[in-house]
Amino acid sequence: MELTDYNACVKQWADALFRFAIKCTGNTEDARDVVQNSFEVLWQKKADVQADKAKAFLFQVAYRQSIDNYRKQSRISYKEVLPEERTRQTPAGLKQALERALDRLDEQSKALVMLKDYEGYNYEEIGQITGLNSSQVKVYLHRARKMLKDYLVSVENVL
Amino acid sequence: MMAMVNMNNYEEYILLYADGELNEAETQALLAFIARHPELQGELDMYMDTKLVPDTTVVYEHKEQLLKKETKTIALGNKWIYSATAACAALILGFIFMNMNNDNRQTAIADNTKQPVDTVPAVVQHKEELHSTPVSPIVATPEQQEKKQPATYVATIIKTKTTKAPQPVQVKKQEEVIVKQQNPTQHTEVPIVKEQRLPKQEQTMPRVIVRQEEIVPSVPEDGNTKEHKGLLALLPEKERFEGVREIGDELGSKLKKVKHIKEDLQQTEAVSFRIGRKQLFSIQL
Repeated sequence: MELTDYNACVKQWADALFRFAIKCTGNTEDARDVVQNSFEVLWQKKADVQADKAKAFLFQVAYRQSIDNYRKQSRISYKEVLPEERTRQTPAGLKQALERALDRLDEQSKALVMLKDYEGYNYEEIGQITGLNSSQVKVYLHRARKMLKDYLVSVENVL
Repeated sequence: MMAMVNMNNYEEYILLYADGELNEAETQALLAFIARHPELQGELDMYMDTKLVPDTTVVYEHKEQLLKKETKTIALGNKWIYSATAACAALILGFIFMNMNNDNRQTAIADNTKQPVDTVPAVVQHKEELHSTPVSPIVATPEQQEKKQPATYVATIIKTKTTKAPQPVQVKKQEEVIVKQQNPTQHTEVPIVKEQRLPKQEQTMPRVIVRQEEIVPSVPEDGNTKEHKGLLALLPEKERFEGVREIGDELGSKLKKVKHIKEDLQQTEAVSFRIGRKQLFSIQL
């Protein structure tokens, strides 16, 4: 890919990558670092990355950085937040309830759901980004979707 | 082939439907099955509610910091190698020419300071130069002379004074100065000097004086003949100056190119160097 392709990727995918990184890392500061690093890696590898594969490459780098760098930290925070979440179930709406349900997922499941719903990737493409095969993506994604549905059902029962 | 949706697999079909992984026929089969079992419509809706919708209000600010500017690539092809070699050769020749000019300047200064031979200040000046050169026996310090050949030295001076009466004025002046510099007590040793040594000194001393006389006008000529051993000196004078002029013009054009590259680099972010298709290195500016 050329310079113009790279700059087009910045303008087209920086926001989506940032939203994806926020969900994966849990905060905007780390997400900003992930986005910067992802585009820097893309720039360094631009000779090897085709323009039509640049978006998947960016999400692949962002996913690996998020998982590798923030997995342990996020798991600890998840265990700490969990009791509070159960004690105050006062959702303002379905969207907010879904956001909280998403935060309860592990990082891999969260990333799979976002890659599916946010970016519209199919199982095979998600597998290429995350390093899983299509069957694994399907199984993990269905498991995550059931958890989200169960959480929403539980919230509706409380309301 | 018609998709077979039943009570055992409908949930997976719903999940695949929520993921958008069903084809048209499978989608129609699922929706038909749900229509036949309306109690499952709520479950389908609930799975569809789990689909995330991106919050487009969240954006990455300062995207311009991620953008890259055009990188200037300096291709080091074969022509560049030849040009670099030619530039190095031109620089070397230029330095040779500059050194030659410096030598000429020194020669010119020496010519300007050259005085008529028979004037006393000039003789004194060259005599001082001779004192600083170790070649002449006159240069040796009195202490050294005393250690080596004290009797011979005194005899030489005396012999010169007595036998070389018709010497030029400058020589006489020099001899007088030299004699003044000697310790007067040395004259007491004159009777000790053997007669055998005197002929030798008669030959050496006039030779020294002649050399002294010859050095004064011959310094610029010797300097030129020794220093004109550069490559350019081998050329005739006309071709030499034409060649130097061409070298100067070439250097000027190279300097303009370098200046142009320098101004151009101020508008770039990085510079990469490559020979042919192989990139050597890249510099972030």
